[in-house]
Amino acid sequence: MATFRNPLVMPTDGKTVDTACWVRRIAGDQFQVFAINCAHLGCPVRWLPQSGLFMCPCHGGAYYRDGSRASGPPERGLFVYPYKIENGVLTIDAGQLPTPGDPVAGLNSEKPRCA
Amino acid sequence: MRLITKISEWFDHRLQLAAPIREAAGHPVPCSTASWFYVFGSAALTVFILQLVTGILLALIYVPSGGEAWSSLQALNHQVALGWFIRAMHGWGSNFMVAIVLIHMVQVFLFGAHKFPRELTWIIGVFLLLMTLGMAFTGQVLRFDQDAYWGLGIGASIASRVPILGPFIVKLMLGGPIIAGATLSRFFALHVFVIPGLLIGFVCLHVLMVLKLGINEWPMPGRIVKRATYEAEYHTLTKKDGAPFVPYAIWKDMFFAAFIILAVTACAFYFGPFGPTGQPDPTIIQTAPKPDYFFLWLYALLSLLPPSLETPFLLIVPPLAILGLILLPFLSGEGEKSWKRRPIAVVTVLLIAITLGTFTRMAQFTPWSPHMSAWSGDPVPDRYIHGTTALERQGALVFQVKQCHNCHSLGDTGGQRGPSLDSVAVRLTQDQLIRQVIQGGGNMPAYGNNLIPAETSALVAFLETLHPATQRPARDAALDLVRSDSQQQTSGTQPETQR
Repeated sequence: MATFRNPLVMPTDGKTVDTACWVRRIAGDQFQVFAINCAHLGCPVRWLPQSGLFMCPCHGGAYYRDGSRASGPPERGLFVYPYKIENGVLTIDAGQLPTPGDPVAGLNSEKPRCA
Repeated sequence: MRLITKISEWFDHRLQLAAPIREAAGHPVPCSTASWFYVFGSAALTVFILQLVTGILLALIYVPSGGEAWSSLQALNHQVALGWFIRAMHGWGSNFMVAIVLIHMVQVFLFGAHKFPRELTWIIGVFLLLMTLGMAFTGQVLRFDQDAYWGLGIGASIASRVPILGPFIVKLMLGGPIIAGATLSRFFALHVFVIPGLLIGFVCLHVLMVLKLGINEWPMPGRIVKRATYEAEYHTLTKKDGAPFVPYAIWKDMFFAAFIILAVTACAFYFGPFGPTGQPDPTIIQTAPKPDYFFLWLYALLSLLPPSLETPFLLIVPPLAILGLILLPFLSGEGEKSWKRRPIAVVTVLLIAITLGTFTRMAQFTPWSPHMSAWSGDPVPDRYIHGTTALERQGALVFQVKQCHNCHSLGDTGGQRGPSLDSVAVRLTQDQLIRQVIQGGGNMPAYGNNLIPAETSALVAFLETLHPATQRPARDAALDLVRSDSQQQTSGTQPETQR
């Protein structure tokens, strides 16, 4: 799990601008960066390494390690952040709360992306 | 004393309120309405006033800022004298208000008070219910803890599903692209200014209409409401069998209101304030957010609806339900008032109450959610591994380590998301078990990519031991026949017919 600070910070935001995400290294420079929010109703999903699943504590949504839907109420896979690697540093396009109706997680993303 | 009288007269000469107040207090009500069934409206008003008073007191300390709201609530709980008690009164007052408003609505419906000429009183009451629920939700957000934060996420996820306008509604609701300080400011404005202002206006209108149109008489079976004659009949009833509201009927209202205040105080004192739970820090994900009790039914429903039905349900059913409540007095504005002659009304109320009650109860123990720590916290009971082979024990280990226990129970421990596995060997044959583990299905993820063949074999061997002593495990009869055939062919004898 990684955390980042939302690029649009206001002085009154407190801790709410600190956001968590799941980063999966597939191989070499190939990654997947998932939003922490369940694609069902936005609760924080947890990675259970033993069973190889992301699970949601709210309504029981489950996702495979590649973010695709495994079971439960979600109708789709986890939301993903677009990423790039520059000088060995992984950066993501973030800043927006992804929701089922608007799955864009990045401020600069044009099209909805899904796992 | 004379000075007070003089001052009163000076004000009344200008305001001219004494006469209408005297008239309202002394207006005749049917004697039958001086009943304990008629006290819920005034009780709701009493709790509303209590909420206004405690809300103002809380606003003196509370800081509606994303960075400080949580700590200001902690200060109220632990530093400000009696701050915890005021918070508890406000929190319990909220619970009582939702409950009393619902009871009031059911009583009004079952007593036929929504019929002519009180249609508008009912419709305003429907809006009052919606605003009460709005206050409950926005109040939960102002607690600004983990439940509030993730609850907002759930609200945003639901709102986002509105076709075309969804993303716009979400931004309007959150005040920006994420849940942050601007979101709290919005909900503070709604909870403290907008909705209470509307509530005060609508409550005044509601009470005024009750005074103008008269309280609904006790419904007698066979006394039919007709638009042409009802008002004359009601007038005659209050003339023949009426008594002044003050003091004849009001004492029961006052007694019950005092009882409710005492009940809220007792709950506040005994149970204390609600939260706040953990800080609204989205990086703390070890949390299982839940709404307050009045939205628990929705929380359960969102877990149990088939995924494909969820969005249509969320977008269609609530507006239809509200529309139905608004149209109700126009669809049944006349006729029988007594619940004794309205079986469909009674069954409808019972059905809704049982449904909401069942969902609320289920949401308290969330059987649909994986039991996250079952694999490390709940042991495989001894009796399931007593006398087993090495392979089966290896399977028990796989069962535990791969967290099957999080969703499936053994004995009395483990999750309830999937079926209990105590007798799984009776239900599924070896081949079916292998297929279910590898491919998943029926709301179970596929574990094919997460188990090596040896682990699958061991796990299935263990699962095959899970059957009651009096029942044999399920067997594939065709497979038995094939095996038997091949054995007999090997030994050179003819196969016998088997059933």
